[in-house]
Amino acid sequence: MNNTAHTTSSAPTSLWKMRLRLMRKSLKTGWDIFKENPVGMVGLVIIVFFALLAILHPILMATVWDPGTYDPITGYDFKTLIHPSPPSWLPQPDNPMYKPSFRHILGTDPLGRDVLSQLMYSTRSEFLLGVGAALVTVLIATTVGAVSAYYGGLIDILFMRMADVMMMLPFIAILIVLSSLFQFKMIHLAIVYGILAGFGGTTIVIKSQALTIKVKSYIEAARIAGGGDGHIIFTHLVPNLLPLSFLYMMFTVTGAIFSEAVLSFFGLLDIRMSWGLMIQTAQAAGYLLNSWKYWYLMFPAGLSITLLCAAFYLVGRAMDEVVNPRLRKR
Amino acid sequence: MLSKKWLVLAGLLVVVGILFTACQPKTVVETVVVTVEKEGTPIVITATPAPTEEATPEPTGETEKVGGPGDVYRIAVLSDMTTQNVWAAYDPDASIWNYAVYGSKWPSAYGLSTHRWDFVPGIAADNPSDLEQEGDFWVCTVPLRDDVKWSDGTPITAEDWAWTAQTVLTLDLSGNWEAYDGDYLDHIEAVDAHTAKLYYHTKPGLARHQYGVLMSPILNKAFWEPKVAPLLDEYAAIADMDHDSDDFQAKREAIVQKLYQLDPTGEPSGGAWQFSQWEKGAYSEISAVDSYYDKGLKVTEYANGALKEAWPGGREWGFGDQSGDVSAEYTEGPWFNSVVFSIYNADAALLALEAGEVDFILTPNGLSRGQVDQVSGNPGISTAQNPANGFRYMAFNFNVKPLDDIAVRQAIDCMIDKTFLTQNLLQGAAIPVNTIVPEGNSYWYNPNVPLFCDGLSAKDRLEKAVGMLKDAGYTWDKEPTWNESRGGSVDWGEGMKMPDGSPVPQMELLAPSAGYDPLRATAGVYIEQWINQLGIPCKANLTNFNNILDAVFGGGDWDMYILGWGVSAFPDYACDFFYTDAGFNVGHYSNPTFDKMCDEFYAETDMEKARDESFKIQETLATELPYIYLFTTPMWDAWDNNTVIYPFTDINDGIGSGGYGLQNYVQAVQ
Amino acid sequence: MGKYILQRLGQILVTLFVFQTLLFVILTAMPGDVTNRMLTNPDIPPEVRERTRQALGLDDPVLVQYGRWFQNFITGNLGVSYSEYPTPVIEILEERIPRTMVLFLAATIVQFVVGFSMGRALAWQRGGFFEYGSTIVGVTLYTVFTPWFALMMIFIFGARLHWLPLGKFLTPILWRKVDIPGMSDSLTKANYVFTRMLWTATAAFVIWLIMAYFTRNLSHTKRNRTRLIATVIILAVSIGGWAMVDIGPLAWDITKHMILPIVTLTLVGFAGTMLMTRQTMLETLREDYIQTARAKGLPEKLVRDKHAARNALLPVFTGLIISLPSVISGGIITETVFSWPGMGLTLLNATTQEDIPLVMGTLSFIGVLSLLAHLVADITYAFLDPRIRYS
Repeated sequence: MNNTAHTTSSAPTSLWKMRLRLMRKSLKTGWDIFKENPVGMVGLVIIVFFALLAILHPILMATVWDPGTYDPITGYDFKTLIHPSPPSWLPQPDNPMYKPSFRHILGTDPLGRDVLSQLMYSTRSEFLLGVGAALVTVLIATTVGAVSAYYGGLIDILFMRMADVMMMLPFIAILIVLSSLFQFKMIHLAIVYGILAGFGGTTIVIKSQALTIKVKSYIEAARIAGGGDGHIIFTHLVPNLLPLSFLYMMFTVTGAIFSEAVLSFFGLLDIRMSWGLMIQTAQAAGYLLNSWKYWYLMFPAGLSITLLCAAFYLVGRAMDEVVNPRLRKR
Repeated sequence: MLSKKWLVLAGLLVVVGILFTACQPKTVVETVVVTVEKEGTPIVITATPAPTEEATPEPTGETEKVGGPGDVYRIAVLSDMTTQNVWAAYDPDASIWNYAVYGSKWPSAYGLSTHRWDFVPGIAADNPSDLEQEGDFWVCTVPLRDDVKWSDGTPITAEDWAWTAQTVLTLDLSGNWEAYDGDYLDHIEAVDAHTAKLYYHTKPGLARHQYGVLMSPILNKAFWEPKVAPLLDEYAAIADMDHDSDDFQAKREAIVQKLYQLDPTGEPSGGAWQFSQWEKGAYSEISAVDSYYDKGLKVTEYANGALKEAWPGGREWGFGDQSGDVSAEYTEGPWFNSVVFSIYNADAALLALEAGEVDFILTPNGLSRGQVDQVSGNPGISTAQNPANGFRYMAFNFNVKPLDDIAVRQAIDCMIDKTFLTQNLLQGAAIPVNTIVPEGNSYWYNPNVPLFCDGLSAKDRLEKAVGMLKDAGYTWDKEPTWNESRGGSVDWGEGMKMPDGSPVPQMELLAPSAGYDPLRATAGVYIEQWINQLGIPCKANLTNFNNILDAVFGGGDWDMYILGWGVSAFPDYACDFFYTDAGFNVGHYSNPTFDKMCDEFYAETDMEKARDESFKIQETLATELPYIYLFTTPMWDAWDNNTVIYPFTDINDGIGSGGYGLQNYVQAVQ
Repeated sequence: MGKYILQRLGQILVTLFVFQTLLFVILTAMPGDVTNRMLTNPDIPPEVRERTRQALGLDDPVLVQYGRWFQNFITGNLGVSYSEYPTPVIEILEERIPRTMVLFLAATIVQFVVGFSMGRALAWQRGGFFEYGSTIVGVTLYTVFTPWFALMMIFIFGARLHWLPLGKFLTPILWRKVDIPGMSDSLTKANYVFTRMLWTATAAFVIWLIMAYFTRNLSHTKRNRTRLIATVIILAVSIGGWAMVDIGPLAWDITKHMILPIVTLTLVGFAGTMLMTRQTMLETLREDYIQTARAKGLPEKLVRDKHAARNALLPVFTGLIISLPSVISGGIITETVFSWPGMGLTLLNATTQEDIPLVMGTLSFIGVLSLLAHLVADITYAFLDPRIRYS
């Protein structure tokens, strides 16, 4: 501890300034490389688009949309008689308004709720889910990877065995079991998915990266200079692992959002609204087969899942080229 | 590099081994198969003569046309059957998927008619005698027909019935075997082959007698006795132990488990169909019993409620005034050679129906609205709608104040606009329910139970409900009022106080999540709003189905919940749910008057009187409201009208769930 | 090598122990139990429920249950399914494992071959329309909402075009008329056929591997020709053999039913392998020996297929073996939509019905399978990669 204090106090300002400058510089070069990859840019544009949707929803609800009609969960439009197909024993309206119209741009679902509002409302929770899971993953994977690479020995064996176990758990299978046996809300899913991904494959990748850093001369230099274990791990090892961790964050987001959709589709999550649940509602009411006629029940949510998952995946792939110089064209 | 060579060698050895194993079956194939076509039903006799060179059992099917009219009735099911063993099928494996396949295999003395649920004889020759006291027992004599036979040609006798009852009573089997209820039934005596005499040690009511023992399945004694005898011996050895001890229970369970695992292959059928084959995970098949004793039975139903049954041989049976308008007339089959039950998931089943791959879809909950919408434009597919024999309800915990106050329950009931809920919100995917007996069970259904705010507008509902609460002494810091200004909405009540002045605590309403049942989830969210409008702080907790069960039946820590019941034909469940301290009475409703009504109802043996009593029970429940009945769902069925035709489609709980696809009545379109 | 394998075996046993304990903890901690199902049937009195709880030992202390669970697992007694009471779990697994294995081995292999060849081509043609196009299509399919995609495949190819069957794994109307003589009663007809199909495929594959091993030293063109001829012969012999036996039509029926799930799984999954191959290829291309090969003036195709692709194959192949258990995950979705009663569907149904022994059994099977896959991957790696030597 003393040593740590000594190192930081000797040049506290300049060191951090230098770090920041370096970071800014590497970010800039990274961005330059990233920019050249059209696939990654497509992904980024999609993510920004969805982020806008998510931000727009509360604004619309506060201004244009009246909550009674447009609330994604309890809304109901009394002016629209039939949502979405008229049962034969009810009076048939002359001018059914269930189809997408100016009033409901994406129509209404089988329970009479505005699909666009549901879609936008869900976007926010999907983001929170994805990013939440990714943060948990990165936190665990980076720490565990760095610690077990640095110390080796028993700790390493323990964590690697654990990673083996985690890797052999098929995610969807274990999530199905967990979510049907326990009450799973979005937050639980985010944490559990983060843990599964964090202790599993990601750790192994990050650990092997950490091993290559551990033998670098500056680590040795820091140790000779009297740096403590904690100091070396968190000021030298972890910062160098962060780009790789960030990359795996992207893949975790994809996995988490996809898992949510599948679990909701099987009716296993205790949530009030999500993209997966929108599809499940359509499926439970029997409209999934008729996807072409009632496209607004399936496609908005289905496409959103695909697009957002793909976007994070593509961004991850593009970042891979930034992080891993051997993949670059030049 | 040495190790590599060893591995190659080991690999070669493995291949040789595999080839050796792969060759093995060829020797097994050397048997001769004789396929005898007997009136369209292929009977396969397998013989094992001396090995011949290349036996070529013809791979049929591929070349043959898919069964023509009247050959195979193809039903799509959503789940596989789980057992062939009748003992298990009536207890742990009781499910629609098992009953649909072979539910008609075991005869019973009496039963409910498929169409109107009338009480009609099965293998009984006539009505049972009235219950009368004979020494310590209440007895009843049942005459059995002498022309009823098992599929192996042996007669179905009173001996079979007596043995079945004895075995169930001895082993104290549970589940649906409880119909032979040891708390009432002592034994059944076979006076002669075709006369059975029932001995009750306690006087039974309708539920135990007519709807119990008289309708219970009868098994083939000749087939089962040798198999079950060793188990009965094992049981006799432990019968003296303390029946409450864990040791006894474990030993008994081991014996029962063996019973459930007995191999039923070759069991003769006592009904219209016998089991033919089961390809696990894919399909199962039953084939028609040619000698079925009720084949050609013509049933005539009269509009005045009377019924006449006429057999081809000239036998007749009936009740009521058999004259006037005939409301339905149909003849029992089976008219197909076999029924094949193929497993699909719900969506694929509908596609299969449209593609002509199946004739009918059997679902426990009916088709969904979107599915009906999809096939409605298809001229080759017909649909029918029937009310489900069940209801979704909201229950109160009487241990939680102020839910034990009738005024609060009635006020909440008043706020719940069932018409809005079912027609607008659930889009007609649900039908409102006002009493505990579903409308489809027409004999027991009471159409005139008290309703509190039926047909009122949202404003009137609120004002009436607030009035009810005020009369009962409830006060508010801010009373809920109707606000005209925003196009009509409610300004929520705040700071509601109970008559003793203490504030109304926060309530939780448990409801299944949207993933499990969107209808109940949506209803839950709306009811939460309505309760809050009154000023009762309430939060709907949409959660896992199992979590609700656990909270309600396990912990008892709950305020209100929304669940559903599928119910039986005889409405004694009304008492099972609400009798003081009854096992299902989780809300702790307790009313001595109600208990007395139930005691009478349980003991009643006359159908007419039982009906009057049931009506009173329904009225009491609709007033006291331990449950608020919400809605039931319509059961939609769809079938291929190019291939099959049903004599009737109006059947309580639907053709699928209520009639298991009407296997005995369905006919092929010629 | 022997010592290394033994060491790995020991590690795997420890991992298995950890895994089983984890399973037990999760499944014991959950609320409710199987007898909850009885609650929804008004005909079953609550006393019966209590009696069942006692009989099933659900009221025993957790440690007792834990001990029993372990003892049972070691002795291969996975208990009795609650939802299909009293069918032993092991019987249910035996019935369903072959179906899952046939479908998913086939799907995995097809997906691997497609993904690998596309990834190889992708690494070579960088920056063009082909790269971005196939990446975007591949990734879109990779992240498409699988249940709906599979349903649409059935809708289009099964219901509208009538090319392929609508799910399931056989045609009942065809099978009900066929009787397989000499088949033991405990088996179903489908499993009889499935097992034999599996054996044939395994045998054909092993023979092919041996052939490939012995032809490895031939010259490039000669080797390719020999291998092609041998492949055709092996395929012809196995297909011809099946066409001749009486259960041939049944196998063909199963095959027809497998096409759509395999195509779906391939479309959904090939992008993973494709991108992984591309990445390893790109890394390999930077290696000195590739530069040398190019400098020598060898044809580009030869460098790609012989030098680069072969080295990239190794990590991709290992990745494939390790990903086998996660195939079960994909299986849950596909099996549900295609009404294919394999392990995935069993797990889903068992879970929703709280059939704990069956859930335990299924997960244990997945665990054992995946540990074996790890072991195989390790040994293959050691065997194939000359740079790694284990002492």
